[in-house]
Amino acid sequence: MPRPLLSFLLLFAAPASVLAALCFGSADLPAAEALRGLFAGEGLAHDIVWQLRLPRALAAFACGGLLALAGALLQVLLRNPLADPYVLGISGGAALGALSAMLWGLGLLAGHALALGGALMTTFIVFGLSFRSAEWNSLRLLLTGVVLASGCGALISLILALAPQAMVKGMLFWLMGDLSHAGTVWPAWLVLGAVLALAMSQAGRLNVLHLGQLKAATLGVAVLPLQIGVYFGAAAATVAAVLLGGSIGFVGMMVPHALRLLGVVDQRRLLPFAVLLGGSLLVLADTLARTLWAPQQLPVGVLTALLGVPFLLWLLGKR
Amino acid sequence: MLACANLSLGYPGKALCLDLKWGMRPGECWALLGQNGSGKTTLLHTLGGLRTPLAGVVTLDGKALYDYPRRDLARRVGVLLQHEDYGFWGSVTDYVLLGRHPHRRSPFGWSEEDRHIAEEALAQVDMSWLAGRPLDTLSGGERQRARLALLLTQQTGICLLDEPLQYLDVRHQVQTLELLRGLTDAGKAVMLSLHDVSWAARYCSHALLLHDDGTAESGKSEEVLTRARLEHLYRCAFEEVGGGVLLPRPADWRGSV
Repeated sequence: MPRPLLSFLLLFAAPASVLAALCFGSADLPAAEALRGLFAGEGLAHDIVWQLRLPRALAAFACGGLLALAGALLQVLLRNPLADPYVLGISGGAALGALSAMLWGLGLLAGHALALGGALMTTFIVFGLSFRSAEWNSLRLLLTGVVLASGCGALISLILALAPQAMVKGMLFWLMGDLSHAGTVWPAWLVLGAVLALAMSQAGRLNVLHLGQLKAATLGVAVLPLQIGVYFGAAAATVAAVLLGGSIGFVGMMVPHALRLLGVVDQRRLLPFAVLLGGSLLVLADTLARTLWAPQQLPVGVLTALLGVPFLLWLLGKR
Repeated sequence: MLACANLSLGYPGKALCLDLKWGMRPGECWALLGQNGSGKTTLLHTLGGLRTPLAGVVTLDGKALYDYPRRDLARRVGVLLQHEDYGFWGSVTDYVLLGRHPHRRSPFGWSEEDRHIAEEALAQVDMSWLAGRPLDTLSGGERQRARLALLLTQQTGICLLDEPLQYLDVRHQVQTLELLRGLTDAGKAVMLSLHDVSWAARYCSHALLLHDDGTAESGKSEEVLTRARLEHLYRCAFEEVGGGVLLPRPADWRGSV
């Protein structure tokens, strides 16, 4: 696809998806009325748009952008196309914390705190076990992450087995990705902005790192500091996304792939495009999750997969 | 000038190179010869600043390599690796342009000068017609030429090449060696590891022989690439097949001398 056209489409998709999220929802509010509510000073439409739909759309966009950005960074770091934000066990640690809080009947704030604690703990354990004798081994990093994620998965299964029946549905929603309890959005946007800015400042080096550690070193890249920076950048993005929307699958792995299949290989374009596409995809998926079975809400992770899988298969078939 | 003094390389339990004293001046082309596992790649990596020696020091124009910022070093010393991971998703041109990374001035893209240099490098390795192809669709020999083009795009005064002729057909082997000769004629210094002694004798002004006991011999090719030294180096008999070309003697391929 020609680069200017793709840039235009992605730049158009971001506000269009947010607009769609504002116009459609479980409340019986016509789209035109919702748009008027966006600019009105008060009223039911104003309240629905400003207090419910807009914060949720912003949460979905930030969450999707963070996951896609983390996925793009980890695929360069690990030089593995199957890498996604959850491969390092970060979501497993967060899920363990969040589900433990639910099991113990702790409040939302404590749940967030425990999820953050779990995510940080796994981040540092994986880093500590992978980084030895001043060198970085991508395979060891990947294996450590997978092993830790498996351990977290076993403990999560144990919690699900022990939890009272009434709690299990909420836990499953958290595990499948759920934006209905997304709290304050600005920290996630802050992390998104910071990680994207840092990643963009290193995008040229990331292009070179794609050739492998040794080749990158021959081309003047200080490989180890770059790898450590990418690891913690991707980890911060994943933690922020998981705290906002739980374990939303598919976006982080598939969005960078879709862009590459569309011909975007330069990290200077791929990283911001991933944020735009990931954010737009998740906003659309969340809008569908809210409206398809309204007033019942579907797990957004299911919708991201249902939207993304046919698109990616179509792209793979074309290539 | 790239040089080393008292250089010792190796792994735990295996000494590859002991107390090596060596230097390469502009305009010289060095052949690096030795048996499999004798330390050719390890030495090239060490001379390129990619590996820390067990002992000794590598200097570039009198200053230790580790005193150079990595980017400065990459502007002066280029290394063609023997193995490279192929996970690159872009085109041949995208790949070759990465050779300009150490010289990059703008974070936003490549300059016209960068693109021109990459185009010239691709033309030098007979790859212009493949410039737009995805790298991962090339044959082994074509990839090897693309890697050579990346090295040329780096425009370094010193080029270290680890088995640059691998995967190449005979025509492109000669083309590559002529290309390297052109670099040395232009005042650059080149070192390449080889397994073909006749190419080394024909194209390289100097040779460095790495023996498997950790010792080394170096000097002008006509002085070093003698039958006796090569037989000692490879532990097999050589014979002259005319025109001063030395080849291993078929009857002795299975035995040692």
